[in-house]
Amino acid sequence: MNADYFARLEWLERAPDNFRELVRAALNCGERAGAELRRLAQYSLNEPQLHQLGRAFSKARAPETVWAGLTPFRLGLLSNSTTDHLIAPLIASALRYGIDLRVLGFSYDESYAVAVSGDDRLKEFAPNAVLVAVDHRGLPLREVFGHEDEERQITGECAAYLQAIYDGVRKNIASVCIGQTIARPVSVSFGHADKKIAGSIGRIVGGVNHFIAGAADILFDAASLAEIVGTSQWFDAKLSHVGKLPFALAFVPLYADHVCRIIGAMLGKSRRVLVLDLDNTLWSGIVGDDGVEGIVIGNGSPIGEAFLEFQRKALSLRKRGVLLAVSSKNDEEQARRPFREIPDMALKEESFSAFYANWSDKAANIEAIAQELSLGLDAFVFVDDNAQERALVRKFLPDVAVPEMPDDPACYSLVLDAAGYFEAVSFSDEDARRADLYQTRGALARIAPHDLDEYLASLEMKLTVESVNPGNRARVVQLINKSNQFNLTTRRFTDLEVRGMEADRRCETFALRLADKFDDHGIVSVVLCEKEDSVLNILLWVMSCRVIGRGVEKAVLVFLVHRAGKSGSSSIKGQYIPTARNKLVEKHYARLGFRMESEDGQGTTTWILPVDQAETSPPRLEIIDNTLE
Amino acid sequence: MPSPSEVLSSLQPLFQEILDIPDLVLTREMTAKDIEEWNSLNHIRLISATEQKFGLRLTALEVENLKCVGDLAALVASKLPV
Repeated sequence: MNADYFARLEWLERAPDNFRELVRAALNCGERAGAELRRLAQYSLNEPQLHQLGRAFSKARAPETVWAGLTPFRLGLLSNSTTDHLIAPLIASALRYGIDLRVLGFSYDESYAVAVSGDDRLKEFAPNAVLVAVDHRGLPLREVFGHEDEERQITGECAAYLQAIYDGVRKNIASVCIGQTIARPVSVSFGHADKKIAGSIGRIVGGVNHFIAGAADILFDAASLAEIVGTSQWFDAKLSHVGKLPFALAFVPLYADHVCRIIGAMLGKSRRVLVLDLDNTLWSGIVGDDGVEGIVIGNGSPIGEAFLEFQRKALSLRKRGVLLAVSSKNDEEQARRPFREIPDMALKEESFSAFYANWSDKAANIEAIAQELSLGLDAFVFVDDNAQERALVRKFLPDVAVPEMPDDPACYSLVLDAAGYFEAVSFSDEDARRADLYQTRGALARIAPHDLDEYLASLEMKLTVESVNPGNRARVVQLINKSNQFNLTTRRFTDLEVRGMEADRRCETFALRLADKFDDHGIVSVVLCEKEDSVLNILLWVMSCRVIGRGVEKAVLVFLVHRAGKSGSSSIKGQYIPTARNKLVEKHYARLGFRMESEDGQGTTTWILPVDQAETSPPRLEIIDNTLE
Repeated sequence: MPSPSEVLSSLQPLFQEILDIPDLVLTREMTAKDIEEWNSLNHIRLISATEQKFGLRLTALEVENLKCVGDLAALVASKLPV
């Protein structure tokens, strides 16, 4: 039952019966074809449907241009199995995440040679990442019962084999390496003692997976995926023998969705806010009708425990950086009472970054929450037990993810485990404290404008500038790839590329840390520059939306001007490349006193500021230069 | 037990879907050589989809011995409950 839930992607809406005709019709939609196919990708699709959609999209897209609203991504695929049948499903699943995916696959025993020799085909393809999908059949595995030292040796040989591929991908292909863990084959030697006796396949595979988790740039834990749905179903011996297929076809949709959600996370497309309904979503019953005494939540009854488990799931997501919000049709006072009066509730009022209990429609409420938190609707997930409410939000806010909910509340938390809306490729201190930080931000947003100056001065803000270094790099890469709104060029840089810039003497890399008397906000902004003769060229300028309206960008400019002067640059150049999400900074350079130098047909503008004409009035923030340590 | 020709007519929509040819008409004599899309990989997808549709398993040997669509229909028919 639960294995099916995962394999069939049941949190997604069921595809209509005429799905195949809809795909064909979409192809005749002209300019809207891309958007239409993307909409069709939101359904839970089986293997043949993914095939059709992926092939249709591949045929319809132009060779070099990208459909509006989609982010391009190129994936190299190295495997010891057949992978041709995965390509169309991967392309279709990527559409679900708004990604225009191109895949170049190499199978059988080519993968090692391709990576280690720096194969021209793959180099020319210039992949953004390479998935190293080697499984147990591609490794030099063998059983050495009873010999711990030989077990270590074989584990080491497998690790060295994979390490050579990973290194090849990084050095020869100059790409990022997604390492796939090894699903443990259903192989029993002694039985239950297999894990006790050295040299069994299971033990060696365990050791290799431990290595992969540490060695890969990005982890794709296929072993866990296979375990969740059951390895006895994951592997299909006949398909493996007949066509070298790596796993059963029934799991192609799940596998493809997981690869694409990781790519989505790399591109900053993971969701960030979980909006929850209250009645029959967080507790059993309707508080407005049944009263606080009448609703069921907490230990002591099966139904109360089921809802409590779901609350705990939400709370655990909050701890890792997901914001929680309420959208409920309720009288606000009534809606808040359970949080205040029932001690068993895992969620408290202060767990939420926004609380909307009123009689407006839920789409309007979610829009208001998005505004309050300064986040795009595509950062939102909405959970409601009521199918009509879900349909309404899907209709009016198609960017919001709205999972189907199982009939049994005991399965509610499974939805959030399976759907992967909040997939993350890293975890930083900022993530751990994000939800708390947004709470103070909400308070800031409610202050009237004329008090704001005074208020900001009272915050005693300190902006510390650091060069990007191994200590802050993970957060820097995260910010570069997650920022969509305060992002002047929306250029994405991988860990490897940032490292390259740190080492490049022509480049300057700045990470900016903000603290005030209440809080240390951590790194909130990144600026990457390149010196060209006497011009300091800003390649990337991003800032976390949490700190908008505090004058941080002005302080950053003061620093840049100072820096440019010191290094002999006579002017600073910046560029604005418009996207669907960064309208916020369209006038950024104009506001900072830059002069527009040129504008191309697509709205990209280039700006210049001679250093001696820059306004150097001291900002409201104290600037601390730590770049020279 | 459905006859091979009954099985053949329920295989038709399945072949249409997997090979993505909406107007494909299956005949008993048809082989992979007759349809461009019927390559070795799609052959495996067809076998797998057939197993799922009829709720049965075909062995690797049986798969290897299939010569034409009629063989597949007869094999499926022989495996279905009476």
